[in-house]
Amino acid sequence: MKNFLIILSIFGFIIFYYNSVNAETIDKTEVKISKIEKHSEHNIFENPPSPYMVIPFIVLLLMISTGPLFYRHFWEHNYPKISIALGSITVIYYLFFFNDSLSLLHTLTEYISFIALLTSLFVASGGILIRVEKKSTPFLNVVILLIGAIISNLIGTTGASMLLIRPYIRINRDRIKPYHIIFFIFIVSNIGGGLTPIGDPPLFLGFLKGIEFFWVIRHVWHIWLITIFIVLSIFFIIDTVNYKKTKPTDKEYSGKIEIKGKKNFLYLLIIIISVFIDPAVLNWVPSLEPLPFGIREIIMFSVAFISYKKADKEALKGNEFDFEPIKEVAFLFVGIFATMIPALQLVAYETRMYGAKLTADIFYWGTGILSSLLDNAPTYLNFLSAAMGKFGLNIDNFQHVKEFETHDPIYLMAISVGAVFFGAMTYIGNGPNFMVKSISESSGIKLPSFFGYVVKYSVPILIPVFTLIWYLFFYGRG
Amino acid sequence: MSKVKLALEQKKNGMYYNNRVILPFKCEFLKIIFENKIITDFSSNNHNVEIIEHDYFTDIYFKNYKDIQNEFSKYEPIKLIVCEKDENIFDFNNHIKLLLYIEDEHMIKIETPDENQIIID
Repeated sequence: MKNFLIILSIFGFIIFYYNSVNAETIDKTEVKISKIEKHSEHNIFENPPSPYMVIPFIVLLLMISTGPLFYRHFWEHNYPKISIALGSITVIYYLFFFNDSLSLLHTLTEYISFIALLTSLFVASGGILIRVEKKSTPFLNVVILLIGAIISNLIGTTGASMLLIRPYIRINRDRIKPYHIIFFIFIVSNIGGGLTPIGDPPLFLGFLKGIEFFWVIRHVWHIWLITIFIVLSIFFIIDTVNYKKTKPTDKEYSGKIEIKGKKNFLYLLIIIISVFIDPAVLNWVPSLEPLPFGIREIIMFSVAFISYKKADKEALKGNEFDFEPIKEVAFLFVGIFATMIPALQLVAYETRMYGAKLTADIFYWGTGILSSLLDNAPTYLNFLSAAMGKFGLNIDNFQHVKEFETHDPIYLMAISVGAVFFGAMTYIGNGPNFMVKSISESSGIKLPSFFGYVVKYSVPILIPVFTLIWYLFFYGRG
Repeated sequence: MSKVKLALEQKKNGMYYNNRVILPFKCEFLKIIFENKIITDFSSNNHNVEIIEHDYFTDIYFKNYKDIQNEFSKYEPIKLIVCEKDENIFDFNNHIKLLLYIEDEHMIKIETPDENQIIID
């Protein structure tokens, strides 16, 4: 982790230095419009980056998808180096050949915000241990999954998954089957988090780009409710069949709900509040520009540090707390964020020319299918960039994002729903999926393979539900 | 004979050297959970582990790793489901769940799971 911080600091310093040099040059020309706007307009629509610069992004996404499945041992030991190396190609190109340090600085700022939120939610929720002494019934399981879906909007799908997966396994330990875990991934680790930017990484990236915090819940709540209801109903039926087959035991349950590490709820609350401590949201919040982070990120990292240091040791032990999952996210996303820059700019450039042909159907299925196979966060940004490009708008321009969200909400709805919901289609669709799989397997539960998951669960359960959602809300619109 | 329950009663520790784990007892292995890998194949041609019994202790070699210390945090154990050599392996009540915590100076702390820790048989 220390090495990672050193590398990030070096990159940060180089980008910061080059940006300062660029800023001086721009000031001299006395251009009145904002630096970022001018620079990014120039780069994207007049002088787009080389299409070859998309190769590192594609290579990284393909390796993230295939590494844990086909060459796991090599991947586990080398993913940090691979991610940093591919990210460096883009950084070097933008600094020395494309002369666009502002895009790098902009991305570094977003990356720090992104990782600050995920790290703080991960660490704070990892210090809470919940034990429910109740008999496993289909109804209780539905209640847990529904609670998980709701709280994933408050503490993220990662936080909610961390908090609930172990109590959920513990409750069901006498009759647990793979479908229990897979429905948990469907509902808590993915679909549930579709209402707020805290819920799922793609929506948080949208928020960082300028989409209003409550935009998603205002426009998507009815789609969320219907989807959650249908998927929970299917789970209830399957679980009831399984429950009836289970031999009754004379085991007694106290009905107690015990929580260790309660103070961490306070830390979670601080993290949630701090999301709004941003000069773009509250104008009294001081900006730390030109530093690539703000007060919000300082609060989040401080809370992560304090909550780990002061955590209940029994809770950490019960949760088998380990920094590995968040370390993995930090390394992989530094590469994703860097290599994604030319991809986003080229998508915006291309779609401005072919945008008329892009409908809400395409955005829903396109974002969805790619979110199933690749990580949903970069997919969301690429399709958001494409949708904005359709109207000649630039994703790196805060005012353009504001204009887009009010222009015609159907596109942003399709992209948001597609990215968040379809993340449940595979183990690699969303960060917490692999984490839940890993925790379940480390508890001794054998889960289906990558293809088993898709063939036995995603295709027969999720595809019909998502098709219905498309038909009801996006078919022939936009 | 070195029994599991005796080793637990006497709070005996195990040891590790790189990818070799030394347990102070002999037993029948049913399941080893190493991080998120569930190992149940202990036949001679498996690629994951090699188990060698000695008079008073047992060696487990984790073939895919150079040093197991790098793989675990202090809160993360290797999990075992075992059975005493002289007990009926077919009776689930005889299955013993063990947690092996990797500590400093080559030491492995052996514990049974408390109510918060889960190992599914």
